[in-house]
Amino acid sequence: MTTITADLSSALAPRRTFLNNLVHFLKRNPLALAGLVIVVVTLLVAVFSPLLVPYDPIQPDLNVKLNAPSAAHVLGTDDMGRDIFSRILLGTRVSLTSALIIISVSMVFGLFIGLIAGFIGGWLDDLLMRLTDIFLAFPALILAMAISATLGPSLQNAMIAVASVWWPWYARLVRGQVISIRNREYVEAARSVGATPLRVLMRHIFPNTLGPLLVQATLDVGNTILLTASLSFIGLGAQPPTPEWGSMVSVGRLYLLGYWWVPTMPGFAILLTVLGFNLLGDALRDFADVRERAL
Amino acid sequence: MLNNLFRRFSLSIIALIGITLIVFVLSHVVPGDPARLAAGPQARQEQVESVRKEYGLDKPLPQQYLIYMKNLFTGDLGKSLQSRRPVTDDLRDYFPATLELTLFATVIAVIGGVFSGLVSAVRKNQWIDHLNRVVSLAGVSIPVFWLGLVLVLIFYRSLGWLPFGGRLDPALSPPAQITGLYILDSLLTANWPVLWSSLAYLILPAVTLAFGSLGVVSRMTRASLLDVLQEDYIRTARGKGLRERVVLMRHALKNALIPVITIIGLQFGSLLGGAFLVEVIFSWPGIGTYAMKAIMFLDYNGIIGVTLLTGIIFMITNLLVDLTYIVIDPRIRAQ
Repeated sequence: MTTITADLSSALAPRRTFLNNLVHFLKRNPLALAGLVIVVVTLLVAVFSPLLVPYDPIQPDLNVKLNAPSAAHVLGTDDMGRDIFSRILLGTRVSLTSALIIISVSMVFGLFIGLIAGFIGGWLDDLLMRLTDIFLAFPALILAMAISATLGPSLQNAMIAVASVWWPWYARLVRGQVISIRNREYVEAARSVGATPLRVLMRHIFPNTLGPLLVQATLDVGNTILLTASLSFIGLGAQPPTPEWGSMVSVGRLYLLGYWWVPTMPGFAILLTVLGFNLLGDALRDFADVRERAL
Repeated sequence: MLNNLFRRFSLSIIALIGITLIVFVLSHVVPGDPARLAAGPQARQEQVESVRKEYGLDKPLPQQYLIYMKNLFTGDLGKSLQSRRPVTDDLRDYFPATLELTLFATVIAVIGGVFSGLVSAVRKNQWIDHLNRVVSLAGVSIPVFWLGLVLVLIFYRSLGWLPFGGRLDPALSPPAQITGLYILDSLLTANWPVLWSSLAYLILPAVTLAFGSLGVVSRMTRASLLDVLQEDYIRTARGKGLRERVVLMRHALKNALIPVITIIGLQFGSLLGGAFLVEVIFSWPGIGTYAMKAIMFLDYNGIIGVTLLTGIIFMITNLLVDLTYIVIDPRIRAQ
């Protein structure tokens, strides 16, 4: 009898591990699952793209200029006769690495400024927050455009431009966290047993700011990809012949009316990737909320 | 509240000055010789030097900045290196087109977003709500420049329903300039052919621009409305026998719109940024198009001018949003 009830209860209430929760959550949220699948596939493509491309993505082949999608070239060829599918695959790598670099740099910078502002406070906090105000006073795309235009057109400069409009959000997020944490009992306790301010900051406050920052960073991957692609579209980011999606749309735009696949295919790749990250990010936030409520 | 407004206003001014400094310093420490570009590739060295002198590019950087700031306070943004005219004149010519596009897109985003958010909230978790959710997420994930191209393919090339390229049928002459907004000017002068043509040319770019914000407004309206519908006063309104329509429109929606207005204010900034990309696609002669030219010519005065202008507009919009709260919400007014 006891074994039966034990079996029943374990069957009815599976062990509430993190993984179980996650699987359960994904089963009930098909959109989240779709996002996860897109993101995983994109990441795999980014890593293995050099092995996957059917054609050389850089070398022009003028014999097959502007060919419509066919069995040989599934997404057609561009004005230089390059296979668009191959270029899109390799472009995954360009977009994801730049997004990753932009977000890491912004996080490091934002963490540094946010920790100092929140922990030290006073006039330094005021000064640093006014500094973030300057960057937040402009629409992100326009400020990034102005900065990257003054630095000159290149993917690296576009990344600097995007990172410089991105870090203020992280600085504010971290500062807010620090202020809410710094008077908690455990920080008080650490202080009262004689921990130095630096130790309190690094051992007790810093680790607790990371969670929300990482969630926000995941949510931002899609947006940074979009912003960088927009700069490339204007002509400020990656330069041809680099297979970057935004610049492929930009060059292909001239062929829109006669050869629709040239600009639309790389643009669709941007849409799909960004949508994947946004679906996943949205779901992550919901999942984190649910966990918080459950705790 | 007024104190707060004043504080926000002065902070914005500091931010604007800060940005002139940042862009100014950046633009002068990087390689590339604006004087050479303005003079043209064929120019002899003396001509380059005379352009350099004409634009004050031969002076030390701090002095250049002080001169720039002094002029700025008298409303002088310097001379554009590409058009060789004062930047303020250029902006005056190009800005109305951007304003018309952005305002029209805002109207589409607000009306469409509030309506679809309302439908989503009323039909929560039914198919139409799920559909709205997917469309909204697609809206914030779509590169606006790509959406523009696809709409051109569908509505211009395939269906032939709408025109594309510019603000007006080239056979027509622009309406007498009153505001610079073609729709408004042609209405005021009762110029119907121009009104129809400019509306037709405006629809595709405005819808392209509005799509992303429409989704954001829709999600916000839905969330806010669902919150409000839990309130006691809604139960009271229903309890005293009001029709559901009245409860929804008069009691719920009105209260739910306050956070929505904040979002609209913020969205205006991203619409303004998006307008730059949309203008490139649709050859729309606004400040985005102007900025692209400025970028190609390393025209720093032009670039700083456009950036400052959008910053000022963004700032004014946010102040207006704050003022709107005071007007529509008696609770804030009382504070």
